[in-house]
Amino acid sequence: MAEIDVENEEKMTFGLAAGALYVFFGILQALASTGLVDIPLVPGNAIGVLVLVVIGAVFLFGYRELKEGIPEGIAYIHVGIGLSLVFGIIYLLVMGADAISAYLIRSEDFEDWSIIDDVRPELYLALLSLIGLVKWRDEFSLKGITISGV
Amino acid sequence: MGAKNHITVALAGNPNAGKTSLFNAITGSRQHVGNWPGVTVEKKVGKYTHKGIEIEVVDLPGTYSLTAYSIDEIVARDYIVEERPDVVVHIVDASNLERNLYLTTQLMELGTRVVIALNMVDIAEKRGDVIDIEKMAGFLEIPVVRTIANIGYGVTTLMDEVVKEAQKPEHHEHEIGYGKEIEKALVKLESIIKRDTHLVGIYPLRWIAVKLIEDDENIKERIEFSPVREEIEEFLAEIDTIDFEARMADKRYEAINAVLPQVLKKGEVGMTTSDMIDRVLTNKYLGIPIFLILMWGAFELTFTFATPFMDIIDLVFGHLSGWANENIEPAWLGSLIGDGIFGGVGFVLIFLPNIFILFLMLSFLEDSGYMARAAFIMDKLMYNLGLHGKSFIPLLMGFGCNIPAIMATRTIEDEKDRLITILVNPFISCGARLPVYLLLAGAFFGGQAATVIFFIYIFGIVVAVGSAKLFRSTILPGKPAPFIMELPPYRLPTLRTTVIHMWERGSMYLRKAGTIIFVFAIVIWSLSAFNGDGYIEETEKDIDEGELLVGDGAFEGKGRFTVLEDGEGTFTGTVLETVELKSGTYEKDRYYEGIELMEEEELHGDGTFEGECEFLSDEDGGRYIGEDFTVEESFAADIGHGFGPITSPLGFTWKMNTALVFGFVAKEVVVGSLGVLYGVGEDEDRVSDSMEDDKDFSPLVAFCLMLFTLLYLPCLATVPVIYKETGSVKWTGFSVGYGLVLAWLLAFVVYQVGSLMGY
Repeated sequence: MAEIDVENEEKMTFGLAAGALYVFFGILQALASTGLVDIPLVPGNAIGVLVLVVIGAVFLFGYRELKEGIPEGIAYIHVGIGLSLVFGIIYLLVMGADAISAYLIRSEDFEDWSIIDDVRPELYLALLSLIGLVKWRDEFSLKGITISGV
Repeated sequence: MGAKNHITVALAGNPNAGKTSLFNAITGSRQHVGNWPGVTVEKKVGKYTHKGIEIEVVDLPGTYSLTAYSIDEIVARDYIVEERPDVVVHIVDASNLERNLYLTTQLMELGTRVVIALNMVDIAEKRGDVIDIEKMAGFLEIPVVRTIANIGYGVTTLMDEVVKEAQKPEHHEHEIGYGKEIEKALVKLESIIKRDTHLVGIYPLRWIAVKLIEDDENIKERIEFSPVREEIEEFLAEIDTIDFEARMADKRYEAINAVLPQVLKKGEVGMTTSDMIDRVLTNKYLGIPIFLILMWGAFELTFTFATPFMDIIDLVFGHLSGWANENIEPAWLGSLIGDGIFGGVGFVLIFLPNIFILFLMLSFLEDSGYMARAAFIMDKLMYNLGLHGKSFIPLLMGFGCNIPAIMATRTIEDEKDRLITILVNPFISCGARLPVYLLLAGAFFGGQAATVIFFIYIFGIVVAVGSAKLFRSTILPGKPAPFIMELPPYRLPTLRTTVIHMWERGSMYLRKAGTIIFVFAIVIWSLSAFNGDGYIEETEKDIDEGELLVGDGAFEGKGRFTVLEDGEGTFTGTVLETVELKSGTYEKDRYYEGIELMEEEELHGDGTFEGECEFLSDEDGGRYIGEDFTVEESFAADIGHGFGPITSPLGFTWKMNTALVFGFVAKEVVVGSLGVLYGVGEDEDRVSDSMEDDKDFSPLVAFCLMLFTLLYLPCLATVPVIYKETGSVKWTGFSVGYGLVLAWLLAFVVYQVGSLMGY
């Protein structure tokens, strides 16, 4: 096996953990989407399953490449973190909009709404990516970060 | 010679080099700038005064060389060659010097006065490149100015140089040596051409000779009526023009490469951030799924995040409409303003937040450079389906509006590829169709609304590429041309530019609401409020079992009375279900006199109700006297009923037919029409409720109506653009006819199969 540095080993572990979690929750959401089981904090949504599985796959691609000693594999970890945060922000905005409908506009459709109704895997799994972003934040600039020697 | 006080400057350069950014920085305009090649497809003119000199600035479409292939390239080349601007500012992407300087060599050969704007130097320098500008200007004998167009850096210095160059009395001509054999051919050709004094008066002699050897179609057309045409053709037949052309390109690159090492020191760069992102986003397995989930994310946000903002607009128009109906006399004028204008226009404006959110996200994806990647990852699929990979960008642009999208096909070189892309573009869901989907999906698909809308958008793409495949294998046979596209670097879009781009597109919707939709709201209201006997003010009619009527008058019969939000009423008769109201509890089968129902209260009874309510008749039906909005006997109903035989196999009612007829003007009018025709225009929830209560309006019919709206016709403004771009009445007619037939067939199949399956 090719030699890998500590930094990449951390990213490899992160890629495996994040990838496995996203795929796991994708499977849970697929089960919830069938309507046969009711899983707390995992609402059923067919396209949500695709979102979770695709993000999971991106992380797992990164894990596989890093494990094979391909340093460009970190691109998958970075993009996985990016995608995960994008969907985290989308569902955070949705939650905010629903809160406005429920508490400010007092819309009929949101009479029984509570914040828990909008908690979903894309939202809490993004916290994991937030940790990755904070840890490797210097690498997330578009302004000239390069991987020398690749 | 006196100093010129008016000069013309053309901005030329490779696609995505920053020409329009520079144009905006010089002239203060706000022309659309995008992060992909081919944003500008026609020239734009702006004025600017620099130190007392009036300067006309012309922004040209991008071109890699002066041998033009696509329409946008021809526009750029013809302007430079034929209009002969005083100075050409060649915008050179500093991070890609070698390729960009190829056009410089051609401009130099043409004998044009050139000033180089070395743009995006910040990106090149951050990458570690060092460019010696003075040496570069010295070697090329052309002024070179550093610019960062998107922040306006270097613009004043550039314009100083432009003015200086334009005022120079003499101009140094440049030539590239092409080697003995080619030079000999050029001399011979020049000796033939110079006998055509007309041609020589227009173009530089050597340049014509070079272009003829390069087999330039445009120049060959120009010599068609030349007295020396036959002689030229005979000479060209004697030489190997393909080999000569390749050798000439090599010589130009040789000239560039002789200069480059002396002016450019390249930074030591491995993999850039853009390369890293591309490794994932253009991955052959992950590319398309990532594209799909990003689009899905955009629709999810469009649908859900907009809800509270829609509610606020809804509330405002609800009050305005109620106020107009109650306070404006005569009644017809109140109804015109309340139901027609606030109802029709207001109902369309409710969807403004959705439109802006969708455009905000599409602008972000475009400005970041992702859309160019989307074209790249879809290329293989597109090619297999008979479409050119370059077609994907016009298709994506169609999500905003089909008009600029159809114009964007000018970047496609091959005529058949271009025609196919124009013909299939109207199947891409433009922003105007979104309100129709939002209304219908929101009313009939509840929590799955965003998924249904996403599906309709994807279905539009599927129909577009499917139709392309059909055209390719039937009426426009052949293989798509190979796709070469430059992927721009990823850029983090600024909030300002993204919001400006969102506004450019979204404001069009707003303008339409204030003009065409406003006019048609009045037209539709008039058609629905009048019949042959005049204004439908008061009617007296029987209501059959299960019929719903929304009105303000007296209802008699057995049924369900629901008092409208802004009204109240009184019931006298037998209560058929125990009900608890604010005024007390009323028991089943007991007779009451004058029960006062407040807004939104509902009662099931057998008796008389007076007031403004929705009345859903029970098994025995009922009778109504008063002002109703059902418009069953109006001109609008006549129009809708006229199309009944054609659309009844699709499950459509006359109201849907009428809405679709007027939807040809602009697709938003479908929504405005449904708002007026369902009689409670200004309130989205109530229109949705009325549609849900309409026994002919099922989720299946709603889905078929969405499909039909997606496909049936390009809008009124798109048709002339199709004509302009195809230059053919036949193809324009085909586009309209094909859409109509396809819409009918698909809606028919879905409706009939769905009905058989019990939906």
